[in-house]
Amino acid sequence: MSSLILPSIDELNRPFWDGCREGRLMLQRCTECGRLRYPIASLCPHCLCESYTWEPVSGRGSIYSFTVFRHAYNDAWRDRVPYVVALIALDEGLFMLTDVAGANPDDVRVALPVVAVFEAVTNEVTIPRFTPVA
Amino acid sequence: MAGPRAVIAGVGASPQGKLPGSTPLSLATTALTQALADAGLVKDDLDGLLTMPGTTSPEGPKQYLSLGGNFGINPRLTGSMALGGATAGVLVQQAALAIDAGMASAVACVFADTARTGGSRFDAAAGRGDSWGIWGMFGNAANSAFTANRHMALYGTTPEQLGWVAVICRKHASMNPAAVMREPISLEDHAESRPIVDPLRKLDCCLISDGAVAVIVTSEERSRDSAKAPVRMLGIGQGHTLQTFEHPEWWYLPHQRDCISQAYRMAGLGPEDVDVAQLYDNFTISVLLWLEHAGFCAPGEAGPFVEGGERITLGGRLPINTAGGNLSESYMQGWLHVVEGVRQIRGECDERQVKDAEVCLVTGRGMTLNTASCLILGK
Repeated sequence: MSSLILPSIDELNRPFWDGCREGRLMLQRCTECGRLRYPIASLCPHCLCESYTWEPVSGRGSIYSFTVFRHAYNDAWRDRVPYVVALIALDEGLFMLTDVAGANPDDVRVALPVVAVFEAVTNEVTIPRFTPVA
Repeated sequence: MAGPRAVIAGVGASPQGKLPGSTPLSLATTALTQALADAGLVKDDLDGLLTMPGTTSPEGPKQYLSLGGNFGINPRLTGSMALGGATAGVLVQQAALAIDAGMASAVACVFADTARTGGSRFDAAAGRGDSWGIWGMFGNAANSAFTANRHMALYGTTPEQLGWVAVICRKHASMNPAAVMREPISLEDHAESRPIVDPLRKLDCCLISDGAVAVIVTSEERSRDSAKAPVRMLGIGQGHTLQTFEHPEWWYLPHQRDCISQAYRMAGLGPEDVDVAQLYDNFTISVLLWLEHAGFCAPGEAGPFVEGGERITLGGRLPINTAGGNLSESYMQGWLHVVEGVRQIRGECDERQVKDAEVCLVTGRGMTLNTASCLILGK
């Protein structure tokens, strides 16, 4: 298998990726307005406050929408076709975009409950994905 | 409110399709030359040049320099904008606003691309910061596949209903001598075409094309000397959601409704007044959303609206994409939608002419479901 595409880990996003290595989904919470946010950003899109803390979230949610890739756009994913990429509605009210692991693509549906799983792809990088709740 | 006083005076398009040996500059030259002739203007009449760089433009956003240099024009107004498929409408609007403000009197808006033979790959990962490629999310079709699957889950929309859009666009292209794909297709052809990103198949996706398009906007006063009757912008609108999935309705492009509502209000018109529409069709599902956002049917009802094809073809309630659209005419990122809108209002469309067409809605959308523009064209 071609090597997967890895994140560029930097000062801003390091707590997210460190959390993944520990099997925890970590998100930012604004210290001014108290809102959780994702995608990772240096300032709060609601109140523009630049200070925040990181905290673990449940890793539970449901599929808001999805698609099944039948076509390999990128060599890194060629061996995984067909694979599912989904917009996950987290229980905390935020959205994440990840692939869906461990599911038959034909069984994936909108509203399917899912939970985060963590795949260590290198010694340094563990990638979060979601999988249907058993 | 009323639309801009400035008018569309001329349109031009190069040959379209697979054009080995062509360059964005050579194609843009052809399109702009045609548009000048169509408007009855000469190049020295132009005091504005706005461009949208194609995927293969060697100069990128500075494309206006090479085109302006080639044409030997030194305009008062120039620059480039890049809003994907919304750009055609946005540049025409910018031209009109600048003209109304007295900054220019004749502005050419030009797009050129050699995506077909120039090696463009529409497979980039989208997203900010950490690339969505980490999770296998590539290309633009997948964003619209999210739209399609959620629309199907909420409203019962079917792949066959998407197929009707493809079939009707191809039918219209078959009546357009300039279209790239003119061989009619059936619902079966659609259903059997190669799956790309569920539920979208190859025939749900736009073409990849070489070509160029130019649209010339002039002041009302200037248009009195034009070769043809001017086409007016009765209403114009834009709307954008610059967030992506962090906006809960991102998948449904809620800004498109705002975009069209603005234009309706400006024109003092509503969906019942629209005779023909050129709806941006990067993918079949996009047409369904436009039909809902423009009020031709209620949210969730666009599937049944297009089913059978009668309502959206010639002689029906709302003929759409009468030249074939991005799906079958050529993928000029919505620029040919403006051209066809102008030609329908002028009554130049021969076999595919919508009888007594007086109002044409032209829409464009682009980026990662982020941008939208529309023009309501009339006499």
